[in-house]
Amino acid sequence: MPGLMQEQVPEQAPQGMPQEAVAPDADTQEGGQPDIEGNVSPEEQAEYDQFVDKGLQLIYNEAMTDKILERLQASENPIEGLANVTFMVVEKLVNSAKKSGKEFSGDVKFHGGVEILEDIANLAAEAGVHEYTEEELESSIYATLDLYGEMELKSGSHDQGAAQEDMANLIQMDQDGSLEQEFPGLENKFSGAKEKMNG
Amino acid sequence: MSGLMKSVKKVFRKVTKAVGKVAPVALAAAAIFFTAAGAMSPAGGMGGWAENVNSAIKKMAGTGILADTLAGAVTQAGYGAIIGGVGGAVMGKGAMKGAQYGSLAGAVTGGVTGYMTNPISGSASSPPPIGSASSGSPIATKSAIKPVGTLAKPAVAPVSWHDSRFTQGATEGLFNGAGAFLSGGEEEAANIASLAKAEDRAAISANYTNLKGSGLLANYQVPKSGGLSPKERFGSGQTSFEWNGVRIAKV
Repeated sequence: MPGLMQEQVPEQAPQGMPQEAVAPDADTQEGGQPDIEGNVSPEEQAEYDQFVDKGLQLIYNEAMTDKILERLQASENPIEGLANVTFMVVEKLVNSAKKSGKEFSGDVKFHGGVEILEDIANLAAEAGVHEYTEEELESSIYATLDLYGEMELKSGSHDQGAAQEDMANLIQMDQDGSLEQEFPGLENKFSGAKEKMNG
Repeated sequence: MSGLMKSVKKVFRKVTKAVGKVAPVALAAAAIFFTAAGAMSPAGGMGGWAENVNSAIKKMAGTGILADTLAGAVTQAGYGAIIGGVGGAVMGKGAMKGAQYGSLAGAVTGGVTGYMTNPISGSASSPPPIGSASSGSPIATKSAIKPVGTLAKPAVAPVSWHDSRFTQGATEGLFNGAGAFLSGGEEEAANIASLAKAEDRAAISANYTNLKGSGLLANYQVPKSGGLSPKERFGSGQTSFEWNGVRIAKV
């Protein structure tokens, strides 16, 4: 599919392998993440590092850490709390950067935002606020993206044309059966979801 | 974040060693969720982001992986009034977004019709009026919603971060510039308010809650890292600590 999925994916789930096959306890260091090599350019990695580092500085500002934990603690729904805080951090980073004339790429905002979300979830777990399940982390990503999309729409920064191009490709891939090849595990994970929703 | 599908398979080396991680397949689903919403123009240009997802779902049919992925994502994202509370408060619009998710739920539970032959060209017909038999709004599809004995507890609107003093100082100077804050945006269009009654949203929310743990996702408890807690890190006068080779200091 031209223009789509051009990069290789090292260390990710092999084609057709269920998500459990990439369980986080495999090949990890000191109970942490697998030490995954990236597939991006040094410049992209540097931009990513800057984004996440600034996010950590924001999160671990002493006053902010307490406020974040208070916010997470006060949330009746941990998904809501995590999404809210993650969105706040990412939005602040993006807009602070813009004020300085810097624009982070969508790649960095997406992946960096996910790492920030994971880190905040880790923070919550370490502080004894809440231990997020994989399902809750995923739900929080959807909720965060929902907030971000809403913000993009309202600020006029959303690029609908790019999304439409991607969606057209996705539909084509769905029709020709290549979607699962491009995104291994989707079928295993979501098969029958629509029927379940329809009850 | 345009062109997200081009981004999703990129792999960056992580900065942190957070133990809880999101599986690659979930990232793909999230990108699809975001892309589907972003590709759609809300009906009349008045709807919000969730209404965009609603439009995408409506145009999905069959049992393809794409439709299943979107339905699965919506199931997880669609916490009705709960997420509505988040969206409304963060965006400074009041807790109206639950109504949009109610509409989203209606679109799915009410059945999905008409594969999007060309969703991009704009040739797809506009969604029917809100509340009509095929609109997918919770009002129209109420009969499809499993009755619940008690109403779900409405979300408590969280504190808005937009004008919060919590972060203003912290973000200033992050990129050698004053902290930039978006305005809360325009108030949500009044038509959203008509999408659903609170009872409908609560019923949908409860329905979604019932779907949790339906077997779509394996539960995985995030293990503790055994590292120092934030309190410990900054406790006893400690002003900085090492974080994966990065010095994190009090600001």
